[in-house]
Amino acid sequence: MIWILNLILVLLIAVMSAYLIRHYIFTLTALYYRGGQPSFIPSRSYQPTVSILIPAHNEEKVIGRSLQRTIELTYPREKLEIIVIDDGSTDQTSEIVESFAREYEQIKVIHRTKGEGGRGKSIVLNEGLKHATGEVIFCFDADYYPQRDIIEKLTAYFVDPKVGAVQGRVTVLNEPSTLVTRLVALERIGGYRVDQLARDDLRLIPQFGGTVGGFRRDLLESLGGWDPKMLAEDTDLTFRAYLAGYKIRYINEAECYEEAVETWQSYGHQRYRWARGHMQAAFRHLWPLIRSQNLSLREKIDGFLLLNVYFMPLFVVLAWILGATSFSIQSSESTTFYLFLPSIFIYSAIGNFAPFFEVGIGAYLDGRERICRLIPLLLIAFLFNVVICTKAFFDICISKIVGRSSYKWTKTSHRGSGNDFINVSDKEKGK
Amino acid sequence: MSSQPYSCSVPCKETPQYLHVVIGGIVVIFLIFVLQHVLTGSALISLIIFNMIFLLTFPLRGPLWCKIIWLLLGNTVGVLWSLIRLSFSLVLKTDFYGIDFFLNHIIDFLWVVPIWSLALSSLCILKHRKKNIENPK
Repeated sequence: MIWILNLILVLLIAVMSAYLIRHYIFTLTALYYRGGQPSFIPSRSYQPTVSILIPAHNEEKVIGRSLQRTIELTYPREKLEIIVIDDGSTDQTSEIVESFAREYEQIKVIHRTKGEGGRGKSIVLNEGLKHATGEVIFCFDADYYPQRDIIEKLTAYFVDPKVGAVQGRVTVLNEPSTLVTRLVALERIGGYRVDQLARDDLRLIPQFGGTVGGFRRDLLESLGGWDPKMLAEDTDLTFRAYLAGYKIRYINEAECYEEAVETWQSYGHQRYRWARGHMQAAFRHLWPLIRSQNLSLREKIDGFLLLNVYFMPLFVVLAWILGATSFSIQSSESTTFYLFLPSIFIYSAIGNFAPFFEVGIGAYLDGRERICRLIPLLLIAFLFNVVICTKAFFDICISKIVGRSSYKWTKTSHRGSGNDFINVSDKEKGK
Repeated sequence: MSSQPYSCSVPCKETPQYLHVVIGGIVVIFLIFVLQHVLTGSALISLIIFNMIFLLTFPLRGPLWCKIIWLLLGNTVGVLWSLIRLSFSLVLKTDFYGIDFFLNHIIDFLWVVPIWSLALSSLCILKHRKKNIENPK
């Protein structure tokens, strides 16, 4: 009995160690590694036609700001179309979008009826794709505020025919609003400035994040667009692109601001959707990933770890419980007891430090002096994620057993607090 | 359909401060040598781990004196923390059946991570200050 317990514990520690090594490798890569993939400067000789899709469901507080910014983009107007898909909004979104469309010919609006609306982002994006004419399809959320030259920076990478998609960096606009927005900002720094950059440098699996990114239109169509059954449609699309033999590039200098969730409740809803969607993607893509002929071994390892990342908080808790049980029931004279002691101790101490190290170095590289001091508070977010991921895991298992999903799409609501940090006119605010 | 590749990768990378790592390593060895006369058991292991973790800060850009001060400060806090923890267990006179063994190094994070993040923040500030002096607007 004890040996089974020990075996499970060893396996868990091995999996967790793989993640901790990955954290350190990514952080050191982001810090020091200079042998990354080539970067491209925007070239005027390569400027494909571009369609930007902006899904909007009750976004009256932020859509004006976002549209104003898209018309300020420096990409040639004749090659740029902006398609707003009003997903059955019941607020002023429709009127705001229409007023912009009347004024600027590059903005097109698609209205979905109130009955059709609010059923998920994938359906809305597929609707937009039907009307898009660009060679490259970009997606931006309604609360996003991009750099003016972001499209040039991102499209430059499509000169490489192997590149099927690109991803820019997301940073938090309303960071000073609440503790939650500050912690989200730290998570974003770790996720983009370190994780995504290191993945790109090491030729691993940079992820398409669903927004601030673009796909080749022909690839997107050949993949059948966004899958409405998937909650994490971005992770799903990422792996479908890689399995089809394409690469995704991450461009750190292509930045876009987002309005982060401000309360623990919104944070919980968003992360639950991400966790459940990611687990759903893991169940779908793990086996095809292992068998794929289009991916190198290092890509497969990274893909495997990426797909399973939301199971990790669950594993950590399980390892604590099993470790404590094993420790209390085993004789202190047994050999395994002494084998376990240092390994668990070192893992728990150095291993648990790895995510803090990653985020801290990201903030250091960005020159963020004050936000570094909030790093210890990430422990709160971690504990919260343990609960969220555990719930998502059990819910997805139940839905697999029962055979139907009980999840109802919950959209992240935006209060427009990001408007306080940029110059926004009344029209952009929707007044 | 042509594009010029960058000569240097964006964003720019740091160059590790190897000399700082060597000096930091010597200081850490000296500190461990001193600490083993003061502490034993899990308290000593915790401080050794803190020192190992803190060594990762030494290759970063920033003045060596700042890194050493924070290293010494961290060790001082660690010793005080261990004394407080020891006092508590003596006062409570309880044996948590090994659970405390697992909890101890998780609880130690309550001082390890804040000290490290404050050190990192100081390095950031000094890096900025130096940059501003070198390139005044």
